[in-house]
Amino acid sequence: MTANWGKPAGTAPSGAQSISEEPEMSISDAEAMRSSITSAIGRDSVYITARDEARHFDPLSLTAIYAGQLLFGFVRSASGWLWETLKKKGAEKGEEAIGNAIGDALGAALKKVEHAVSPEAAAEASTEGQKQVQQIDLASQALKELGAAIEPSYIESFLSAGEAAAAQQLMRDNFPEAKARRIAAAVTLQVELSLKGAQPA
Amino acid sequence: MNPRGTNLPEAAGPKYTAISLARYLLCFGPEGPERAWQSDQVMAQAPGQWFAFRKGARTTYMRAGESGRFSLTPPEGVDPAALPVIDESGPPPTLLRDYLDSLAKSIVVNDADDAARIGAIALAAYNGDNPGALRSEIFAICEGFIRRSSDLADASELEAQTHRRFIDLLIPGTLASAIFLLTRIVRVAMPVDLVHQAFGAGGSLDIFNGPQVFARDVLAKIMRLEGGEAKIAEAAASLQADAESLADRAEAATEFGEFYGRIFEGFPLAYAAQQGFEFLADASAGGAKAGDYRMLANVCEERTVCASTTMSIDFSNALDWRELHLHRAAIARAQESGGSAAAEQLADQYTKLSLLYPLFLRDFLLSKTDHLSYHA
Repeated sequence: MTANWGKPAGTAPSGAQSISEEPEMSISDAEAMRSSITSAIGRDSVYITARDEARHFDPLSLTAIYAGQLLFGFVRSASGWLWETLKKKGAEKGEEAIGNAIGDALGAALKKVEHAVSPEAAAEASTEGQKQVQQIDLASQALKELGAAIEPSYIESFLSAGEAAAAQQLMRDNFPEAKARRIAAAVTLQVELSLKGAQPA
Repeated sequence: MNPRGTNLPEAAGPKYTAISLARYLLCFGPEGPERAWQSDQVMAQAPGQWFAFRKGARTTYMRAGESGRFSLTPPEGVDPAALPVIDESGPPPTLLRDYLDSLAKSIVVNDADDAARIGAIALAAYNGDNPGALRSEIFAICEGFIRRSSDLADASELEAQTHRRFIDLLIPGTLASAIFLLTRIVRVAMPVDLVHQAFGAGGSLDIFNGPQVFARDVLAKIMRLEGGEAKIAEAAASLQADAESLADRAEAATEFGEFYGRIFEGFPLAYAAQQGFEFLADASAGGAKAGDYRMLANVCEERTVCASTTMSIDFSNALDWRELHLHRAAIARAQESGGSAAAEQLADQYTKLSLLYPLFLRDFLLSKTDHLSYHA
């Protein structure tokens, strides 16, 4: 696979339509990002379908989509935390508009992230593996911009908020706590690398 | 190429073939593999097709092919009456066991000691679903372990002895798992000997219809005792943890034998946990915990199905590497249609997710090397 691809015509999720930039990250990097999370889930993927009537003999496709959804949920919760934190900070300073409190670059980056991982975008992307990879690519690109704009002191809390949400999601999806925390930590690593603009581990 | 069927070639390595076949036959019990070896031949002709498996009054459902499914209830969107039926009533075939016996006889020419050992294993495989042989084993457990009050040392000793007999391929996983379930309940419930107390309680205790029925009867008695449900759940969780630990060790294995050996070793632990959780789910149906018990039973069942599949693949590969060639070809097709990421993901499924092959075989599966190594 190569980095040479454009935004697919007519397939952009509604929440992501305002994003005009072409993806910069290699699509294979997005795939590797999802693959790392899939690998961290590993054979514990059985918990995902453990309440279904039917047992599955092909865990891969389902686990990969689940890994992507987990990533979107992580970033959505972390972004929500960041918005709230910045709003509070603005209010403390007496800023009336959130835009004044956080600055143009950070505001724009945060909006991009939110659009890329919105529930609508995540749901539409999760109908097909390759479509989801493209959406992960958009999210990763937005995270990279956010990483460049965000105050470094916020990054740790941003990641902690996302990791806690991912762990909660995994536990709601039947994973025992220790396994949920291990997998959530693996998602954190991928998001951290995206914020830094580094290659997926 | 159909990897199964009745065509069993002359084994190039009779000893390894015999051991891998015995592991396949005994990880649960011989009937399933014997029947599957034949039904897979039919199913291989219709990938994606649902089949109904009928045995007595019980019907289960399976979808053939790479994206296979198994369900105890009719699958959604499918008319069960229209499905092709595979009837599993009547005595199970003995094709694989006869083949194991022939391997033992072929080994005698070169190595009498090994032949005697393989011969004993072949006999154990014949007896693996023999009601009389199983009844004797269960009776001995009742008389020697359950009837008299056991302490921690007794339970640990019986568990260790059962473990040894299982990995020596002398008893089937159905029997080993029933014993593990009882010894583990004794261990987690100490100082109260719940199993002995349960023996004195009323209710049926069927020793004539196999280890699973026997285990469920004992569990039903324990359930009626104070703290019984909690101790069954604790024992099942403990067995599940042990099975997971063995799967971790298989994943980290650096040698072929270690990989398949650990998966075999973990089977009766996972199956014991499955039986414990299944019993609790049924016994507490409608209760607050029933859903969680069922979910845990399903998790354990996934493990046992994967382990059994892995044993079948090891045996097929011992014959002529037939499954390995098929899996390697599937990955090559994924590479052609979806690129290297798709190929890598499929290799992950065969190694990390389903534990069909040791991790060190990944490069071979991906055709990055043609050198097939038995160790990392």
